[in-house]
Amino acid sequence: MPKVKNWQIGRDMEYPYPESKPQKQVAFIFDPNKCIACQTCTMACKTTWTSGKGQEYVFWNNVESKPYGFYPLGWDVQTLGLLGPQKWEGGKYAGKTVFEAAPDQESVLGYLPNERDYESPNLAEDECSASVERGEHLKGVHKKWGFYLARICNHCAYPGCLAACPRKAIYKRAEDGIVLIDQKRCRGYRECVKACPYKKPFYNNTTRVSEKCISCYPKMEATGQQSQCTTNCIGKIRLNGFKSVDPAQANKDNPFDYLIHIRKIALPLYPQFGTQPNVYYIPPVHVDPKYLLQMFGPGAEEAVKAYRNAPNDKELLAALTIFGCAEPMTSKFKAEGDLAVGIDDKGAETARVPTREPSFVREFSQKTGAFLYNNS
Amino acid sequence: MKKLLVLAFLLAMGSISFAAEPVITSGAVKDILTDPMDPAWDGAGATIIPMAPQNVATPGIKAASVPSIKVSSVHNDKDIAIKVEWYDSTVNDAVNMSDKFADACAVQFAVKPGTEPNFMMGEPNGPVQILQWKAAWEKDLAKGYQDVEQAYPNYNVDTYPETKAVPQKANYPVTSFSPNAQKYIAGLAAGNNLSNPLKNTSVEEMNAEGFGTLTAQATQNAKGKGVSDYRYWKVVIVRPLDSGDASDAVLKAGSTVPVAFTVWDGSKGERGARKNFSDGGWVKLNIQ
Repeated sequence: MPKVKNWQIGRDMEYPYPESKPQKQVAFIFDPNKCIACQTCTMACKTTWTSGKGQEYVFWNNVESKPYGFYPLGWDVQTLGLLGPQKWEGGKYAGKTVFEAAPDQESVLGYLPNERDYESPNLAEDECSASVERGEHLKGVHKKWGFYLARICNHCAYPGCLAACPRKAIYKRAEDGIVLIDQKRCRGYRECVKACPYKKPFYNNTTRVSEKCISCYPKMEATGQQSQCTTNCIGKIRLNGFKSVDPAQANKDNPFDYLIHIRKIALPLYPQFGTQPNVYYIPPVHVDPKYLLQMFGPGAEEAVKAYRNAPNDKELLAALTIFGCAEPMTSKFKAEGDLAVGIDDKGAETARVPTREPSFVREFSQKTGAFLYNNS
Repeated sequence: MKKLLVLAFLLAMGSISFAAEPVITSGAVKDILTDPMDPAWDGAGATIIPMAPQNVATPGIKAASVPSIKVSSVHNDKDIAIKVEWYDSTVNDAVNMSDKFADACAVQFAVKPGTEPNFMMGEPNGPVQILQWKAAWEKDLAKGYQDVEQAYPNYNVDTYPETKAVPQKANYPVTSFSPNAQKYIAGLAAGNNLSNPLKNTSVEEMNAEGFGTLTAQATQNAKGKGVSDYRYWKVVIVRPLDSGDASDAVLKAGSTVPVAFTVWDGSKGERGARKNFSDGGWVKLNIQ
């Protein structure tokens, strides 16, 4: 099997096809710290792309309550279970990827979900890691945690779906790294559904072929705008655009390169799977560090520290503030005083927003013994 | 000693059924046999062909799930009928659910006369013609296109964009969709045969020039019928001897051509390359 370089696991790895890099790579950064699981992204995607017959159960975008929410049921723990315990040695992954652990007669380690695994798209909604005892929240800070994980196709550099398709019906576009399923060549074998560790290809029960997130490429090509799930996000947790293909080429003006490669604050989801996913997450700060290590790799702890310090870090604050501030894709950003400025690839401004909301501190009224601001 | 005798007996049995290279004889008849249950098949003779697991290309299977098939054939100078029979304890004919796969079988010919390209899907410049009978399409023909409402009879939907329900029923057969609404059914709009709800055959005709190259033909002129009879699938695939289609193999009476077979057991998740093929590859078909 050919060897390819996977920077996310800090080493070369086996992949069924030799290295073939796109000119640029579509990327997303999600900030779960800001997500409230309102599912507006889910519905924006659903109404745009998967409202048809045979797609009733299909969610190219979903938001699940971690640690117990999954769609399909148990998608990540099932693949983690198949892989078994694996190790990181510093920034290098010493375990096996889903390609390296592929069993006899398979090109990728995976499983095909049972149809019932798709029965409960929002199972365990709002459940946290353990039950909060009665009155515990009044006694101080408790250690129970939970967060919302928004998920779409990762448009991986080394897609599991593409590796497993025996018909080469799945391709990664050379111009932007978007991964697509050719609807005419697909024969509905569901090898992609089985192989994708993120379970993001879905079988269409009406057309009998598989479909997946298309990164809103028709919208992007026609208007230069970000994806539907990004522009409809009311929590402004998302940024969609392009990153440099190689970390060595990272450009500090590019918000993706800056957050992913330079500050290393936006991390891949389950990098140990080995597909080099291109949706990056800012780890939720209050979650058990062990869980973050498993989900986002060894950089999680440092990322949390940097994120917590963002109010004192002007440039980082500017990069984080341009999330959700404009429909067009932002390819450059800069901090100008207390403003964050976004610029598109033609040099036009996409956003100019304050990094701090104006605030007003009410005076304490001795008369009423409260922070009141009226004539009482 | 007893064990040795048993072994010798098994070997002897083997030599009777399999050791001699199997030849399928296609005798001439007046009317072509299209129904697998037609008693006239009894006079056509039958050849047992052992099957082997496809494990050359990934994905594959480790052991054959169908140990052997029984093949018969007749022709009437115009059409040729090939009957394939195999044991399968479960009827799997649903492909309208995300985790279900259907039973199927296929017959393969070399397109270029006098050639024997790689029996596994042909090779570059050595195209093969593949005729695949699908249990799922047989059900589509018998009961109408099997869709979401057939897979999940109690499902409920408010509406689909740009469609109107069939009067009096919250029912949306794909055929009732307007041409504009059909554009949004991606597989159908892309012209994928599998997505077409208007089936007129249970056999799909395709070409291949090696692994992963299987492509549906523009002209579909094969027919078929499959019946599950006491846990045996009995399938007849009928095609013209000479269809006039350049991508089809031309078969002539009085010649012997190579033919190969594949069988899928849907209950074992077999589809695509996860399949059983005729052991040894090409088998001789003597068209009398």
